[in-house]
Amino acid sequence: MLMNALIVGFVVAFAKFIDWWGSTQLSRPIFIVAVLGILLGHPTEGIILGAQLELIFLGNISMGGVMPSDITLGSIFGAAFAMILGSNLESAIALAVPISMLGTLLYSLMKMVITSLVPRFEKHIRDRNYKSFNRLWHLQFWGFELTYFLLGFLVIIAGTDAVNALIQAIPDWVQKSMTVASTILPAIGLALLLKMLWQKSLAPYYFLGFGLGAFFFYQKATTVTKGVVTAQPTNILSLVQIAFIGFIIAALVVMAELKNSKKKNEHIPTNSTSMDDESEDFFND
Amino acid sequence: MTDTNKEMMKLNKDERKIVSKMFWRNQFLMFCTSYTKQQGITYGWLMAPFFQKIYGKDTDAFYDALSRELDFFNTAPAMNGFIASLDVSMQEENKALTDRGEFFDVTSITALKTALMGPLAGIGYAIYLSVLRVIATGIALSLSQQGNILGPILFLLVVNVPNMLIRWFTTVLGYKAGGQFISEAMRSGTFAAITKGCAVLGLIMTGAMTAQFVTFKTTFEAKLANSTFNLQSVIDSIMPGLLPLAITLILFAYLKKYNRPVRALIAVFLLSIILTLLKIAG
Repeated sequence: MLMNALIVGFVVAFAKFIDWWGSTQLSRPIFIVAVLGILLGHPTEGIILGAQLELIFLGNISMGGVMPSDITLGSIFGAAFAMILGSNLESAIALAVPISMLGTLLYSLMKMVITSLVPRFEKHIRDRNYKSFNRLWHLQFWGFELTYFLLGFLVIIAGTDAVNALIQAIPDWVQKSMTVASTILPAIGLALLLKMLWQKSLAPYYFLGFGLGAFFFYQKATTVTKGVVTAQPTNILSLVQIAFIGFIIAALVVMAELKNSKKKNEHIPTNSTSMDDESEDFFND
Repeated sequence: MTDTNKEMMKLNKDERKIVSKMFWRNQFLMFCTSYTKQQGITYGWLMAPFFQKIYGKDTDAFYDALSRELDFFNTAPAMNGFIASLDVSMQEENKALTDRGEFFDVTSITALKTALMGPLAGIGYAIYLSVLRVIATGIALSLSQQGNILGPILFLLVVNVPNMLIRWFTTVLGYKAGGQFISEAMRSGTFAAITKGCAVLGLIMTGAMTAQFVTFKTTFEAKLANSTFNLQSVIDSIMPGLLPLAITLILFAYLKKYNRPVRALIAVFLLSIILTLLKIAG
């Protein structure tokens, strides 16, 4: 158990590091849960669990300093308990969703602590003390990492028995409502992304994307199985396919915009001179 | 045109040293963001060694420059290499001009930083969160579902090969282009056109993700006389994905007005419990 706790603690701290270092996206469950599985000695299980948790949390996005739900923490703990206790995916989800919400609250708390340190940073610079400034930065960096390591370590070492009992006792409606919550949660992340990108004049593109994602079925005209040609409707357009269409539309917009601004830049000086000429002519007449 | 562009991106030995140092230091931008300054403090922290080199250790000019950099700052970290290395090149210009006794308006640095951080955040988040990550997940997911180790490895590569290339070349570009060039690009509309294109792409992908990632199905059924009334099939016949779209737009309107994601989170949590208990969803 000690080994497991150390591993989970390490993975949580590592995930928190890689989440912010270099915007690598490697704190997503598809990667980090696979790493966790490999370290805990359940590689195949870890990769599959990672994929399934990723599927649930696909639309959950954290952006800038805003973390609508800490899916990294939720996925790691959910998957860790599922693998250590040998329970099923449903219980991993039932744990991951509420933990990801508690994780957000914890993160807000840590951010408050960091905010309270801001005046100290400013004071060090005012006092012309770069050394202390630098030291304080490293201190908060390591404090942050250590907190998450200890969180992972302590939760596994102290909580495994309790969580096991909890999983046994989780009533059906809680498990159901956690699944429902996990399917609605992406809306928050997407709403935040929308808020970032929203301009009234560009709003139709959002609905275009929605239409592409929701309505487009296409007939695969010719699939030959055992000498019989069948036409099977395939599922909706994949996001990779939509990205392809999106690139084309974005390229058209950029080219039109460039042409427009070029015209404007050429026209402004010539226009004003011709106006002057005209008015002069007018007055000369 | 392309030749001059290539020429512009070339680095000599000293420049390469500065750019690669910025490349590595900039990876840390997102650490320890605060409510009041967001990335401001860490931005100052990552600039400090460059200022030390330009202005000299513990000089007044060094502390002046550093204290100007601690203001509120927030952008997509992947795009910050551009801003930060542009900042360094302008500080170098400042130092060179002041040494010659000429005047350099240092407020122009802060002004350019502030002008760039918003649009670059839009570009960065549009590319990273709605395109790069989504494509990588799309490629890796089915492999991972079979328990194949290639899944996570492909995910790592598909995101991070472009990620590191973008980070490197934006850093080079920011350093080599200089303030004059950027101001010109902003004035002529080139920059605005690219920003708009990225916003369009981001919005299309956000719409598509709303349709495919937000699932909200009602299981509500009512027995009427001799037929069953299934609410979801009625909604589907109006428009598939109507409820997810409605929920996302409601949350968007709320966040736009109040900007309280934690409350929105708790609301969603409670809503799903209530709907499940009422047997409307689940």
